[in-house]
Amino acid sequence: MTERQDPDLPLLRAMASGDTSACAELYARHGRGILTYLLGQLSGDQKLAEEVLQDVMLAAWQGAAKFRGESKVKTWLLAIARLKALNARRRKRPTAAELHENIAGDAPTPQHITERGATRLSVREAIRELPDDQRETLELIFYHDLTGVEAADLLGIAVGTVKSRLHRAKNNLRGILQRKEVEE
Amino acid sequence: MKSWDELLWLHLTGALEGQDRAEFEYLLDTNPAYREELAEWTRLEDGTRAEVSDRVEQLPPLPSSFFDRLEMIAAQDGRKRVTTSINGSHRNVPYQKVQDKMTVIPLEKPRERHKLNISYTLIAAVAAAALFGVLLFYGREVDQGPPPESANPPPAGLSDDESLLALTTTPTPAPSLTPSGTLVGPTVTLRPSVTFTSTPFWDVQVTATPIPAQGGRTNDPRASITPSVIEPIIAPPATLVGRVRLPGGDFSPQIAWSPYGNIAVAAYSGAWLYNSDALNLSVRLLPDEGPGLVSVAYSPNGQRIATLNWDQKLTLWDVETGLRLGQLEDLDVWDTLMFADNRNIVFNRSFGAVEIQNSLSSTSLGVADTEYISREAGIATVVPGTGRVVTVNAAGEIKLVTVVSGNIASEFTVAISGQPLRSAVNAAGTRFAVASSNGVVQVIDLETQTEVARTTLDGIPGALSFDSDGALAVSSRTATLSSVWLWDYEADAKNAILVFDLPINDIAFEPDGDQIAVMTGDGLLLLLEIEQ
Repeated sequence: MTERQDPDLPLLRAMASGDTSACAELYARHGRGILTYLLGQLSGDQKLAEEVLQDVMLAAWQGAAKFRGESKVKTWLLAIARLKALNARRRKRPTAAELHENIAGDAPTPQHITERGATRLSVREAIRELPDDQRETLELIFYHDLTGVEAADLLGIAVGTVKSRLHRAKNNLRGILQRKEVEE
Repeated sequence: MKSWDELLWLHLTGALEGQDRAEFEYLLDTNPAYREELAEWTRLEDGTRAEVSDRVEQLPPLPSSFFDRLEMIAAQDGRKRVTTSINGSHRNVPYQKVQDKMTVIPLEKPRERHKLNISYTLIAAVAAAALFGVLLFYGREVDQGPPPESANPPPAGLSDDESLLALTTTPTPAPSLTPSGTLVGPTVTLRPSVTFTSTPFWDVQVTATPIPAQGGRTNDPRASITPSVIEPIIAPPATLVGRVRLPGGDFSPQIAWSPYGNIAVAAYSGAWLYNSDALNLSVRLLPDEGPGLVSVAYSPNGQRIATLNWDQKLTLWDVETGLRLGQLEDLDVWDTLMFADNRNIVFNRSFGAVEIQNSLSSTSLGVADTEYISREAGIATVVPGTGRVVTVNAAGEIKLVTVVSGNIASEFTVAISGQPLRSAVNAAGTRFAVASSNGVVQVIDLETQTEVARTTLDGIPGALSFDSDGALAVSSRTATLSSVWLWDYEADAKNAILVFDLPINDIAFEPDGDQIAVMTGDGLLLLLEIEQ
């Protein structure tokens, strides 16, 4: 990765040499995106997400000298955010339904969708109904503008799986909206 | 020329350029179905952006204390302070050394323990209900559409649906597992992928032909995974609190807990880190490395991870940032990797030696000849602070190796029943357990240097792990089934807490002892809570 390919690289190099203003600049560029991602990972817990965001920036400050440019800086920050979210989530016992979902996979059943039904679902509301992994993949591709390879690396899955998640998300969304139309 | 799907993928990921863009636009102009599909994607994209962008109203400013922490870190690692003068030139000023005042920023906060104060009767009732519910669910699963994407791909000759577990029970109630490891209950009909002849546990009817062998993928160890026929049966005092299948049909030979409750999984596709919050979030390290991992270990402070590849490459990772800190190649390592302390790594070498290396400087601290005979005879570290590694060889010689020098600090001999396969040390560093090939598990007191307990398992022992209260979990494998046993050796009580048809590759108690992670031979990671 070169500076031309990634305009954040000079900031990281400056951070590695001790420039705190570079860290502030990196935060200004990516803080909102990282915070958005963390809120998605941490069930919307604003306070926790903001704490973790600071931890992400601290980790970036600590690791700046070791960063080898194997990915874009933004992707690396998202990866750190994912690591931090991993640690920040406190142990929460799954409900039987959550375990059931884990075992059954990510495609909601018709019954599942019906049970969740609201009176009227907009596309946005329907997106909220998607399984976590599909929603996260959508977010990385469509909001954070990662490439398929970058999203795959971040999520630790194959590019083909990224594609299949997107397609499942689209099909699930269509199913949710059609079903609600029929119900109404 | 690219297909519509390929062009659409490039469009969705912002990589559509030049000729591809022209081709994409041409297809859109000439095919209404493509326009309709693109409109659907656009709706999804717009909806996602709208949904996500509303999460953050305003980015909070970083507090001044944050920058104080940056300076403290910079002072600690010797960075220079960079300031910008009026004319834009930079000058470097060393940070004032503030190391004495510095506090270590914790990687993770130790988790709160959640103890259940529920009576044993209630737990048993809940567990029975859960078992019943799980079995009911398996019966439904066949009818519930596609398998999860992370499930093993179906072998040749069988459809997705056929490769799913097909477990039906008639009549209810569901089978249950007795503490002695016997399954009791109704006849269970399995649509098998392996042939059961007779087992002491199951009354099995084989109702389908065996799954054909998978050929042509022998280089990928994932190809040799045999799909399971049954789902893991879990019994009190264990309850299932988390379950996840490794993505892509992956498998894992070894798992490890961090001091703070995350679980690292050494897998073919890399090191997966799961949080123990029902295993609901994972991170993968080593995305572009191969071929596969055989071992993974957390440093005692949880800030480093070491991984060992099949090709003898040891990599040290910073858990904080996911960055690689160093790599050692062409090591003569068998299969076990451990941190002796936060700095030094211990591993088995061939020809019966234990080597200790400084993980950052790559310097060898010493090699202790422990005269292993068994390839898989395990080593085990004593708790941090004692600075010793305990080993056992087939002659029953137990040796305590001093970490800092690699010298054998002391040794004694205990009659080991058979060929040692696995070993473990309790959290206090006082008890050493050895499982042998003949099914005998012995617990040895390291202070008195005597055997204090022994039991015999039905089958060959697999993995061993002590809980924080001193009980021992051990897996065993017969010709057809695997079990995980919870053995309170001081009370001489042994309960089967899990039965499965595939091997149990590893088990590991969490550091504070009320949960145990189990990795099955087909890449299923289970998290069980043990009611103490």
